[in-house]
Amino acid sequence: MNMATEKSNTRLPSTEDTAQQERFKQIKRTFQSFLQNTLSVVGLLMILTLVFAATFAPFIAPYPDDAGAGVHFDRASQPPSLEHPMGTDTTGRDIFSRVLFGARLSLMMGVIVLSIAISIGVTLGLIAGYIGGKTNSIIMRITDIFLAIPPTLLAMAVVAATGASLFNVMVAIAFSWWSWYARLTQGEVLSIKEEEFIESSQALGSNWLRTTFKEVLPNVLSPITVKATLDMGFVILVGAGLSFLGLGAQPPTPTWGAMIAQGRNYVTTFWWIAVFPGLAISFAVLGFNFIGDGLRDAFDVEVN
Amino acid sequence: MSLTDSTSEEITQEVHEKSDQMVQVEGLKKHFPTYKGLLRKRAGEVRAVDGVSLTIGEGQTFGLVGESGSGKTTMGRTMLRLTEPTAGSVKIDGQDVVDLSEGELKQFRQNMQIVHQDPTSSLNPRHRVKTIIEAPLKIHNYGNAKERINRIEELLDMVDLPREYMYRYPGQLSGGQKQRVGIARAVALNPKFVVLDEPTSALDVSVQARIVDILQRIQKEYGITYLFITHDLSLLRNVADRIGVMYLGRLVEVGDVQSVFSRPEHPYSRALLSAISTVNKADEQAKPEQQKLDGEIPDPREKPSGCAFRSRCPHAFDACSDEEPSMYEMDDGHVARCYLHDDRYREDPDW
Amino acid sequence: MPETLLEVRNLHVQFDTYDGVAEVINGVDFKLNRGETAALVGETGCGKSVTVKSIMGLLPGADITAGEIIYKGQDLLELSDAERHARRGQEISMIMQDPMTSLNPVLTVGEQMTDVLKWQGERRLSITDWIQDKVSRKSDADYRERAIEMLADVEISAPERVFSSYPVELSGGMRQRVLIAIALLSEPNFLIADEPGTALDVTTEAKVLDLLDELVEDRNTSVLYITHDLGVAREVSEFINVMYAGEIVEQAPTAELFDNPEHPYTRGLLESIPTLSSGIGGGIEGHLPDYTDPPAACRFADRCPYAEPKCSEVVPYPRKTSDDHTVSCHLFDGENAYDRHQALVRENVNIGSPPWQGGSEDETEPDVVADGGNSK
Repeated sequence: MNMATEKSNTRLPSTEDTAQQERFKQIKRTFQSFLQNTLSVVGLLMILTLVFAATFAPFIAPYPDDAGAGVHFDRASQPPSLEHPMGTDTTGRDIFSRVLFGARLSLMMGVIVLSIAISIGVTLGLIAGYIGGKTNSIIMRITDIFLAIPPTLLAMAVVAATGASLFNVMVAIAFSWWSWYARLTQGEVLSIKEEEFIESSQALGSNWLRTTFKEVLPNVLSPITVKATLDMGFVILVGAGLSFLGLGAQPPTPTWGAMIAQGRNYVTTFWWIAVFPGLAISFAVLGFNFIGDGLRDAFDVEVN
Repeated sequence: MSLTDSTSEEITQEVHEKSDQMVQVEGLKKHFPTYKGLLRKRAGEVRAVDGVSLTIGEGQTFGLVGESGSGKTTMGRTMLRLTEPTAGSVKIDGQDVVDLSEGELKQFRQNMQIVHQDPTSSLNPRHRVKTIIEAPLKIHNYGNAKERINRIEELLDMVDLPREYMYRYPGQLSGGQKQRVGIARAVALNPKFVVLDEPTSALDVSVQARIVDILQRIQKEYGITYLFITHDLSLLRNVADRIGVMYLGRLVEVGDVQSVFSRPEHPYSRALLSAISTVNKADEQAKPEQQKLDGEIPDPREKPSGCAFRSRCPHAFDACSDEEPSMYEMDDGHVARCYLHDDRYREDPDW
Repeated sequence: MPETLLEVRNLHVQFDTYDGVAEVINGVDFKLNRGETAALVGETGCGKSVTVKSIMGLLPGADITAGEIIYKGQDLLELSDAERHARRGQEISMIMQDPMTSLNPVLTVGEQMTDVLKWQGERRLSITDWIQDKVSRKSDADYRERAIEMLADVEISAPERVFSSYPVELSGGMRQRVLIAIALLSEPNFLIADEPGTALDVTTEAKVLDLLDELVEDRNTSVLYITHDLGVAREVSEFINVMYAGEIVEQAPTAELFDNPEHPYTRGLLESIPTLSSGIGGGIEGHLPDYTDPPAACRFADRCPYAEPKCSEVVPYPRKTSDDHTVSCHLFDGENAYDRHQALVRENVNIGSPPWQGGSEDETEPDVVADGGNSK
């Protein structure tokens, strides 16, 4: 005896609309849990400021021409004031404007480096983790080698070979950074591999290529996203370090690192020349760190 | 009770001659090696499935029952080659699955599918229902995008899920709904044989009844052959045509469900039946008297010699520890692996 | 005259979620007498775990907006955290559902058992207490003996060996017995068993349930079984409370419930159970309501094959159909079962008698009568 009567189809407009609604609800939920964390909200605001500054630099900067070469000895080495909120450097360029343009370079570098590193690292990690066996051993040993070399040293070697430029620095950092992603991904894949839905996909007749990229990959994205966000800050930091050493973009390009280098002899006298770019770097790193932590917590909630 | 000292292989032969068997398993074995110590030396093996033979007729449901450690789940998975068999053959619609190469196997998978026990872990949490059900269709090149959507809608209707659920994620579905998605996915390509690995064990009783209803409807419509694995005997009574009881990797009793339930011939089957919880007086009378078993299922690595069940059997005697009994046939294809059916030992009055 | 050990009155529990406030428990009343074994039966998500955890005081995130949980004459909800903690374990003990995850994998069984004996009732262990204990090594022997005795009581054949084993070395059935042993160590008056057989094999479950039966009889403990399986409830309990969507929809002694199931949900459940003699029913279509947006009146109405429009407008308060049989459904008439409903205006809703009982349709009865329950 069947007690059932199908009561469900007094329903909504279309299936697409429901899909939209569901997606919306989910985003709202993740957002809400993200916003619970004050620190991550602060981080978000910080980075939004940075992105804004970088995007609109040509319009916000009071002295856009100072971003390049510029010699105005009449206003050289001025301390912070109303006209020059961060002061001027030894050739009279407005530091505030240069910092704003420097933001562009830093963000761009972060994005490009991480894009390369993630593409290579995640792909290798997926393949190594899923296929296992010899392939895994070979890939992971290569990864280990790259992990063992300090990124700064490797970058210096690469730049020494190819010449100092922003582009070369980016390639150099990406060259060692991918290994972290390979290791992270491989670890995640190893645990996801054991899940029943992976076996289900095999039972359906899926080949390894499809299973790896279509089934496994979406499940490793969370930790990778968190790491990428945190890494933005660190990549900027490493890039600044290399620029400081003179290995990055050459003057007059206003990279933050180079600006610190220029001001390093004047730290006790015209302190603002080095300090403000340094603060900018800290600002960026902190901002990304705060967001990264918040994302990690928010993703945990979503997964649950 | 006739005494035929036939091996299960021989009995299977007889049944071959009788009708069209969709599934024919012979001597299937799955042994897992065990290792010990830092150097991972081979220490022994776990014989999860230790020589099992059975046949299932087309469109029929074979119920495979046993407790944890019996090997029933491994049996289902090995039959589909989700894990490689150690020995034996598995013929599905005449084709021995064990013989196929990797590539051929992938192709052949359209014909044989599985529904897993845990609906939560068998669906990719990051895929929408649409993607999940579409997977087999895409893998085996079923039509174009529009045709696939039509098929998905058809399948959702078949499992009583509203079409809008196509765009939901598993996390937004209840246990029963997830299991329906699993079923829709399994029958998407109209397979000939589906292994149902405890499809309702993780669900509440009211949901279970609906799922069983859906499975039976689908079977009627498509003529799919089922291997229904479960520990729930009452459920099997209502879904299976024939039933096989497993203990420590071997079948100890096989027969028509009517036959086995009214006259369980193996002490283990009797004990299982007596432990069923009942909800009415008719059932209480229908099941055998309470049989308490000693101890618990032994570690598969330490199987007792001879008949594996003797360590818990209330009727065990000397002969049981020497050699494992072969299958003894009662009339009508009902067999039991127990010396109590051997004329030589007919002494036990309780029987 | 049976003495009431536990009485839950008008319990309301809600949770704050991202989607709004979830009104999970919506007015639950039941009681348990001394020495009695009762069952709380319902599907996954119906709120039985929440109810039981509220009794134990194990729900920090929940909001208990109304109700009383009266244990031995005292309202537990009015006690301080410390006082509740003192009762937990000693007076009221719980056997968790999953023996795999309820035991600490890094401590031996013996350590876990002696911990319970030693620190019973202590809310927080200060560092000095702990150090003192480690250093003095005093009457551990007593505790050890008691623990081993208890292990033997739960029919573990080699209690000393199990005492020094880690949970991972034991089988499911053994672990469940250890859990029972731990729960009984402090000789509680009231035991809550949360689906104790679910993770076990059928034959092992049968033995474990029998064991529990014996043990509680010896000690005259009251037991509340949580389960979704009416068959198990039938075997182990004298009284059954059927729960749906945070409300108790039917209550009766076991035999009475199976002979005369009244609420459509109970009937649906019974029909869904596969039987040896009468087949298997079609189950109950639909699913539990969304607790953040629950139905205004009867929470089962949208799944009920006998529902009338009035069922979605008027709340079916629990009513007595006989001395000990209560049901929350408009298909049945009877006195209000609980005092709290007397204070409300009695709305006499007549939707006819249940189709399976036959009987006449009453045409002359008014639909809604606001009269405080004086006319029938």
